[in-house]
This record gives sequence, C-alpha cells and structure tokens, in this order.
Amino acid sequence: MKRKVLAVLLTMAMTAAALTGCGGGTESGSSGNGDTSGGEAQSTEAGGGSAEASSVLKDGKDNVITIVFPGNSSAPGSLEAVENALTELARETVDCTIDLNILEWGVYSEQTNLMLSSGEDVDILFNMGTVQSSANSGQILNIADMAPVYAPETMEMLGQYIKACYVGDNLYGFPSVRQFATGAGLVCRTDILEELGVDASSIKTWEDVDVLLAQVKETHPELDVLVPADLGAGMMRSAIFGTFDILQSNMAGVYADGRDGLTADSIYASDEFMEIAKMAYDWNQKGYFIADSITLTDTRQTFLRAGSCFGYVGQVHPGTKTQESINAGCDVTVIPITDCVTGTNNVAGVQYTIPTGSDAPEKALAVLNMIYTNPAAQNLLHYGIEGTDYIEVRDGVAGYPEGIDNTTVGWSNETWLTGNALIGLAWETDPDDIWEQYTEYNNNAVVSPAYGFTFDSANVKTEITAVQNVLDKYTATIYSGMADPEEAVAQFNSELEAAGMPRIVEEMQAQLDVWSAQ
Amino acid sequence: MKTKIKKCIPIYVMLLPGFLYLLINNYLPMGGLVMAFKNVNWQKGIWGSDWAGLKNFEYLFKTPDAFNITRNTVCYNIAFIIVNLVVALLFAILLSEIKNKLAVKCYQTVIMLPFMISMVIVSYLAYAFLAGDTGLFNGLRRNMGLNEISWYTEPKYWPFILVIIHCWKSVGYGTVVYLSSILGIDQELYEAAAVDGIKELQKIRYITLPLIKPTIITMMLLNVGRIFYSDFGLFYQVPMSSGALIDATSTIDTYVYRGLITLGDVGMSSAAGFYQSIVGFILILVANWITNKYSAENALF
Repeated sequence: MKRKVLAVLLTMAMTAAALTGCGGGTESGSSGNGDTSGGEAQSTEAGGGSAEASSVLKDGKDNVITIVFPGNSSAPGSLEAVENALTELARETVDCTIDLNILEWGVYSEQTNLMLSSGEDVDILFNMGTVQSSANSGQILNIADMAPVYAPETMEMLGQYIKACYVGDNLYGFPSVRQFATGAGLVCRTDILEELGVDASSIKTWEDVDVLLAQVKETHPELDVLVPADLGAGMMRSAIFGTFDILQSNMAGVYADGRDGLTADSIYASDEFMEIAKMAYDWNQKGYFIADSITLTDTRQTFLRAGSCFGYVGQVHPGTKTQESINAGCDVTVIPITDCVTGTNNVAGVQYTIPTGSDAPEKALAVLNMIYTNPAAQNLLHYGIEGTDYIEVRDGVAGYPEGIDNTTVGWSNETWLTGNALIGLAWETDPDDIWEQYTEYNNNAVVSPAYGFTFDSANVKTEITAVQNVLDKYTATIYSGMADPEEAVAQFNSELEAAGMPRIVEEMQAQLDVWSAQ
Repeated sequence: MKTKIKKCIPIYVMLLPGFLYLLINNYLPMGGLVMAFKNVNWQKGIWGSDWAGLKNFEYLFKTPDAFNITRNTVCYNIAFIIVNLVVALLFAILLSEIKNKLAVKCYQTVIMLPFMISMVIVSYLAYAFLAGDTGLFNGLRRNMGLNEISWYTEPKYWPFILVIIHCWKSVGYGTVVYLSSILGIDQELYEAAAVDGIKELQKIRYITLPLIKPTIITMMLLNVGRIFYSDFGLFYQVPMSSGALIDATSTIDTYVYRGLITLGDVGMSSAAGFYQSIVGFILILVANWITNKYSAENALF
C-alpha cells in the first residue's frame, strides 16, 4: 500500500513540474502582447503622433478586427453585406477586415465571459454592466494612452461622459452614446389608454398610476394588468431607479439628488424602499400583478405580443417607445414617473472595450473611432444596407422600404448598441428630433454627486457574495408584493446585516471620502 | 517477464487512447488547482498572478449561510444515496425475475430514459405539475375540493420533491448496474436453494444480496466521494429561482454560482471546487479504509 501511494504521489509531482513549463509559455506570450502595445503608445505622443499613428494603422497587414455585440439573431440576412461595407469604409484609414460576431441575448454574458477568460482574439467587445472585475483581472486593456492617439475625435465628442469610464487613471472603454440617465415609469398599450379616454400626460405619480390600473382592471377583467419588466427581478424593481445612484450593483449607493451629499448607505434600509415594498404589496392585493410572477418563463415582449396584458413598470428613456413597440408588435405609450438620474454606471454601464486577447488594439481603436464619428458606418451598424434594409424616407429619417417590415428585414439593431446613434438617421416611428430629445434628456437629468466615481469591490468580495445570496432570496418576493412588507423588509435587512452589508457600506464610504478629497 | 509484456502489447495499445484521454482531461488540469490560491490577473497569466493564500476560501466559511449550504448538500446527498440504492435494488431484483427477454429490455429502456433528459427540461416538467393555477397537482386538489398549494413558495415540501425527482432521474443508472451484477449470479445456486424449499424473500436475502455486495460497496464508495458535490441543474433549475425556496434548496454549488455570477472571480470559484474535491478525497480514503477493515476484498484499493 505504501509503495503504491508513493508511486501515485511521485507521478503527480512529476506532472505538476511538467506543467510549470506549460504555464510559463502562455504567460510570457500574453505579457509580451501587453508590452508591445504599451511601447507603441509611449513612442507616439498625442501631438506629433499622427504620422506614426497612421503608419501603425496602415502597415500592410490585414488584421481581422472582430467586433462582438448582442442581438436577437446571430445571423441576420444582411450580415455579410454589412461586414463588407464596413470593411470598405474602414480600409480608408486602417488595413483590416471587419468581422461582426453577433451573440444572442440569452447566451451573451456566458459566451463573453468565456471569450475574455480564454484570451480569445476579440478586438472590440461590447460590455454591459461594470468593467471593474474584467479590469481588475486584466481581461480588458487600459486604453488611456492609446485613445488620444488613435481615436482623438471620439475622445473630444464624448466630452464629460468619458470621465465615467475612467477607473483611477486607467480608461477601459468608450460609452455608447444613448440615454445617460435612468428613470422608471409605466409602459402600456396605447389602444386601451385611448379606449378609457385617459390623457397620458395627466399621469405624474404612482398614485395616478394606481387609479389608472384600477380602471383597467374594472373594464378588462380578462387581462393581466401588469407583467414583470425583467424575468425573476420582481414586478416593481424599476421603481427604485431615480432615487439612488447605485454604486455597487443592487446593493448600496448615495441619494441621487445629493440630499445627503456623499453619504453611502444600503438602498434597502431607506424609506423609499419601504414605500415601494408597501406599494407592491398593495397592488398585488388589488390584483394588478399577474399570478406567479416570480416563476414566469415568458418575457414581457411575449405577453404584449399576445395582447394578454396591459403593460409593465420598467426603465424609460426617449427611445423606449420605438424599442418596445417593435419588440411588442403593438403601439405602446410611455409614461415617465420617477426622476432621471445620471450616475457613473449610466454612462459606463454600456461600453465598447478592447480585450487583452486582441492582436491589433491600435487598429481596433481606430475602427471604433470610425464607428463613433462616421455617419455612414453608424447607419450601417444601426439599420443595415441602404436600399435593402432601409431607405431614407425624408431628410434625416429612415424607414422600411416597400414590402419589408420588422419580421422580414435583414438587419435589426437597437439604438443603444450602435456606438453613437446621434450622428445617424432617426427612425420613422420616432419624432424627427429624437436625437435632440436624447441630448435634452441627458442634459436635464439630475447628476449624482458621485458621478465619475467607480467602486472597487476587491476588499469586500466575501461580503458581496453573501449579500448577493440574500438579495436572491428576498428582492423578487418583496418587489412582487408577495409577502407582508413590514415583516419581510425587517427580516431582509437583518439578514443583510448578518451577511456583511455594513462592511460594504463602510468600504464604499471610505473610498468615496478618498475620491472626494482629490 | 519480458515475454509477458510482449504478449500484452496489444492490450497496452488498446489501453492507450483511453489513458491519453484521462491524462489530458483529468490529470493535466490538476495544475490549475493553484488558481484557488491566487488572485488571478489574466494579463499576468495564471502562473504569474499574485498569491492570495487562503483568502479565496473565506467566503465559503464566513458567511452566515455556510452551515446551511453544507448541511443541505450533505443531507440531500445522503438521502439520495439511500433512496436511490433501495429503489435501484428493488427494480433490479424485480427485473431479474421477469422471464420475457423483450419485456425486460422495454422496462429497462423506460427506466433509463429519464437519465438522458436534460435537467432544464425536467424543471419544466416539474413546473407543469407544480405551477400555481395551471399545474396538475393543484388541478387535482381543486377537483377534490381542497385548497391550492403554492408549491414554489413553500419550502417545507421541497426536500421531498427534490429527492423524488432525483430518484426518478438517476435510478435507471443504478438499476442497470445492479441488474447486470444479478444476472452474473450462477443459476445453480438458485436451483440448489429451490430444492431445499427456499421462499422468495429468503432467496433475495440469502443469495442475491450477498452476492452483489461487491457491486453495492463499489457504487457506495464512488458516491461517497461526491458527497460535497451537488447536481447543479437539480438545485438551481427545478426550484425556478424562487427566493422563498433558497434556504431549503441552496447547496454549495448554487451558493457559489449565485454569489459569483456578478463578481466573476475565478479564484473564488476554483477555491470552492478545490474544497469540494479535497473533502471528497478524504472521505473516499476514510471509507476505503473502513471497507478494508470489514471486507478487504471489496475495497477500491
């Protein structure tokens, strides 16, 4: 027995020793990559860099620039045509071939996680949510030095919004230009509103919405009045938007209107949360919510398409009407209720990043620059091929050509995914001045006092893991009004305390104090 | 000695592909265990990242849920082992008594079928039974005049529901193994016993069970090694992420998944895997040592 154990241990030791060699090879490979690009950027300073910059971009090597972003279908009809057109446009300044890799929504986060952790050669990656963990584990590149050289026009255009993507002195991506604030409201079917003779602009608060929902329930008992905006999140989850600038996803933040300055706290300990919990419970008792809302498997788009519901409470912004009307296949009215808040995450939450695995980061930056500043590239990425997928119906506005509709068109994309939608054409179902509306919306939003601050969670990972589990236990139930609010919220908060929420708040406060002192 | 090896060369050649596969898939990745002890930074690579000592393991023990998830994992696994053993043996013995060869094959296939179904589909099948208003069980209760039960918000039923679903899904595998073992028993023993006037139950107790004891012990030892693992699909998909059920159905695997899906920390999730496999390793050694003491010929090594 002893001999056998010894033999086994010896084998394992030898194998492990062999492995050290393997690991070393990969490591030097990837760090070598990082060194080259760093060296390039340093030798080409912003001022006299353009000649050297273009020599890097037009070096005769035809790199494949792979752009990864999400979509409804991974192979829309016009995919190849759009890739070719984009390549043609790009080749004016960069030697490359553009490859668009569209991943479907359901698998997007898993696939991109795999791509990042395996160091696959992806050049431009669309990132949703915080870049903190990818940045900390070195999966995406710091472009602070390269960006002014290879994408100067984009840096200028983004102005103050680029600040939100900096983590300390490092820049990790460009935010996609879209609504930069979060607000919530009611999105509902226009036909029923008109039937009841209700004027959408008269509805300003949740109490008004309550009255409206009561009317709908009375006149249409066969409908489920409200469905959840997102599966598993709870019916009224969006109602908390607009009150807080949430600095650690779903956990803690500061008051957006600056009433407490830079004092961080758990959003679940606030009075506003209790109010929403009570409202959810009340609305559930009144029967506004669809039954079994927590375990549903159909999305809001499915219910709206089937016509079996009135609407949902969710995020609203200038583009919501077009976006949801297309998704739902029927006309919807958007009624904003809460304030709109601009926090770091509103801007940085949707970014185009450059992963470490990219073999030509300078070219990737230049291609991004083209997407952000060239209207032709923008229209390609947003609407598809002119003539086949869209036509310019009037000045500055695009629409479907004859015989094409949203089920047969060969390309579809959402405004917030295309980089800089504001320089392209507007869509016919939006008002002509939709881009001005976006700009106005962004300018009028309440800017959080913590704008520009990004929370670094490295020291509180244990607590975040534990708190996340507690959140999974309670938030959906409370937001869907399925438990008595007084009891449930009290129990929820005590479990959050036990799980380590005070530590997270403490850490956040400490970081905020350091940031504000700079 | 030399001629012996020479004679066995064809056997070694046949062994080679499987051995290479095991080596590449199971042994080489063991080097990656270091990820559990490192602060993984992809730009430095796995080997160049900084050491984090035991920090990655903290979150498994410091949380107030630690006792809960460990208890759930171990208790569910013990329940699964016992219930699956009893039911699989029952089916295997019943099947071995059937004379019609075709019938045996049919039953075997039907019992084995759930094993092949993906857990996601099973969760929808369960949903069809347990859904609030459209579910089968609640429909039956309504017909009988009883009130409906909201299955997905009452944690107390779920230990039973999960054990039943796991048994339904996995018993096919055990049945086939035990059945093949039973079929290997020499028929003469049964005939000799029949001459002495043995009854059915005695036949099972004195001949069948003792003779398949080696198989049972091997299966048990293998199961014991996986006692800290759980079928992720079963514990995550079937309860349909209902918050109220989390305390009753949360295991180490689901805890790690829920906690780290936002953080994406590879070091911490590797630490969880490391913890589970180390415990399993120690348990197998202990179980094997115990087996060595009581029936040495049945031990694994």
